[in-house]
Amino acid sequence: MISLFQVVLFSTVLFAIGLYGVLTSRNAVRMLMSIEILLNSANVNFAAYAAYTGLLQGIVAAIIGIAVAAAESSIGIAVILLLDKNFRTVDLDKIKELKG
Amino acid sequence: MNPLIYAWLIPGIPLVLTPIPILAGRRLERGSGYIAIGSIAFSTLFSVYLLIRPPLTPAFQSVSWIAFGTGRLSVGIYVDHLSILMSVVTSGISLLIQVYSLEYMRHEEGLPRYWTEMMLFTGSMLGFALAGTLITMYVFWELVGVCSYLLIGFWYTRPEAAAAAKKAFVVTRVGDVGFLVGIVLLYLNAHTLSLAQVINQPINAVVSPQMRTAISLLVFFAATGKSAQIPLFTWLPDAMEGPTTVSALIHSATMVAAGVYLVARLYPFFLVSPYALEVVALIGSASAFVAATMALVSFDLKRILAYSTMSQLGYMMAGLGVGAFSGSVFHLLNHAVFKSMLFLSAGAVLHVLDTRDIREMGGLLRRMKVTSLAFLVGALSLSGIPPLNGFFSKDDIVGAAFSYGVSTGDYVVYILTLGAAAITAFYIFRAFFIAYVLPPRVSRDREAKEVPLVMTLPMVILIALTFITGWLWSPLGDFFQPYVRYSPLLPFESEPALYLIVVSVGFALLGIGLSYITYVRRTIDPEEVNSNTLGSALRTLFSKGYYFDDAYDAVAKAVSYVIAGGIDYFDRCVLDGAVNGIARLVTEAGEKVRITETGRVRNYAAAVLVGIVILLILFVVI
Repeated sequence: MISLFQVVLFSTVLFAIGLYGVLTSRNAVRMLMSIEILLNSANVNFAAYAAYTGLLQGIVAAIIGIAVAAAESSIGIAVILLLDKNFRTVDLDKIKELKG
Repeated sequence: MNPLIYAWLIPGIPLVLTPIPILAGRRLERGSGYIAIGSIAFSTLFSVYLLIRPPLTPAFQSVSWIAFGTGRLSVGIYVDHLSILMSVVTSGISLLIQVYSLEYMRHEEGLPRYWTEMMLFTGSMLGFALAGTLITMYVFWELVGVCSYLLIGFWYTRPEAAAAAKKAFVVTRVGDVGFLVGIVLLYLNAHTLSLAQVINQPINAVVSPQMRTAISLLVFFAATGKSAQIPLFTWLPDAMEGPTTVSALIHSATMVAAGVYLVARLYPFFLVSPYALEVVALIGSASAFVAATMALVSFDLKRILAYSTMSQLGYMMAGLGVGAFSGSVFHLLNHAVFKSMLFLSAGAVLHVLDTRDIREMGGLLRRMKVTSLAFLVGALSLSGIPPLNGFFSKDDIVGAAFSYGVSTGDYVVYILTLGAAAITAFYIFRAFFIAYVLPPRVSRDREAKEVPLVMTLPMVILIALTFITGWLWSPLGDFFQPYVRYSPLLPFESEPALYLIVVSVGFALLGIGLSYITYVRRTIDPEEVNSNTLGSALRTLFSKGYYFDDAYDAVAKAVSYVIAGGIDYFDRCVLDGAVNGIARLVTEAGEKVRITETGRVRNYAAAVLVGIVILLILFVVI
């Protein structure tokens, strides 16, 4: 039987991996994927606490989170495609249009 | 009917009817002129009625105007012989000038404006003459100043006229400040501005003699502005830019007479103010002399007359200063008569020849008989030749100056007035010979011909008056006596001795004779006098008006440059500095902050993370 602590620990590790990915990846696709990991760590948390308490709200929140992640990744892909079209690269360190 | 009703009506009628010409505009055409003449004729009529049946004691009536705290300012009239005399002179001379204007101004643009301003001018002066409180006098005094501004600048499209009008207004304003301060000081000390009290009990009204002198000198300063005495005379020659009828009115009975009348009106007050009359005498005689020398070198007929006005007003002031009160007031009357006549004559010449330069005139004696006769009579009267009116009053003043010299040992006033008498005779006959008698020096395109009756008639009336008014106060007739000897406070004046009369007439004849041999006989060549060093130096001094204008310009420039420099510094350093400083602060702060904007998404993500962590810590701690 997997304890709540183990699930939460897993979710925390997942969050840390995602955060590391967001902060270090130069490739836009990798960054998008890292963000998905971040979102999913939150979903795991929701699901774990829902199972632990037996309340449905956690499940609902997790499902909403998945739906948001789906929408977000589709928009993210679209953005990345446009970046590739306009800058001929998806290396985020080379795209510095907002530099002051 | 109460004679005071008439006194209210004298300035009231012209003032109330003033708006009609300008409101009616062109619809009235010549009617507006008739309204002006009619209203002033009524004023003249009532003034003459009062002159014939004056009140036995000074009559005084006032209504409350402004009440404040414990004080109260009132508007009123004060009717005594002096104010009646002044209103007769003003309205009578003004009436003749208005009739003359009918023809003189016939072809001008903006006639409704002219008539309105003339009515307002005359009405204000009448109001000034009959005013019963000093504050009323001040209001009318300023109205007279405004009207002179409007009328001198009647041809406002000409830059010289506009500048002259502005100058007249500003210079007299400088004096007006003195009047206002004097009034305030008087009110603070005497707690009343009523003429009846100030004139009849000057010592009770203002106890401190120093304060009396201060008030007198301040009022006299205002009088030097209006009456064109040193040091505020510079506006008078420039005021010749206005129409000649306006000059005639300003120079005889209204504007410039106001200053002398003000001193005469407050004469009992001046008498009890130590040193005040000494200053009046000195300024007056110096002005008389200085103005006469300036008239020597002018070629502008109207300017010569303007300087002579200033000179004659100097005589009046000097007369008041040395105690010849009646002589001065008498001279005010006589001068108004002959000076308006001289101006009307000059105006007729201008009307026909359209030039003011005496060198372009000449040979008018045969062509314009009445005009030339008017000028000749005026010139003789101005020189003080018997039996014309100028002789009587001028001799009285010069004689009083002599007795003043005898009693005080100070003969400056006598010498200056006597010298000015000779110079006066010289310059006015110089103008007469060059402009009227000798053939023209420069060929001209206009032919001289006599002006129509409506213009000659006022001149003829004035010629007659010049012969008559002198006899009003002479060994033969005592009619004038009460009009100038009304107040019991005035000192006794003796008739000038015969030898003094002979001396002053001798000086006048000397001036005329010199003028004759210089310009007609040409025994002395004026060009030769001008060409030697002293002559040319004096000539420059005179024609520059003793550098008063330049001095005022220099002072005004220096003062305004300093002020402008200060304001410029404040504007550039303080105001601009504040604005630019804020702008620079923002720019430099931006420069410092911009390095944080790298444009890298990962940096922003890190910043977001840091922010979240800080927020979390804050939530946990608080």
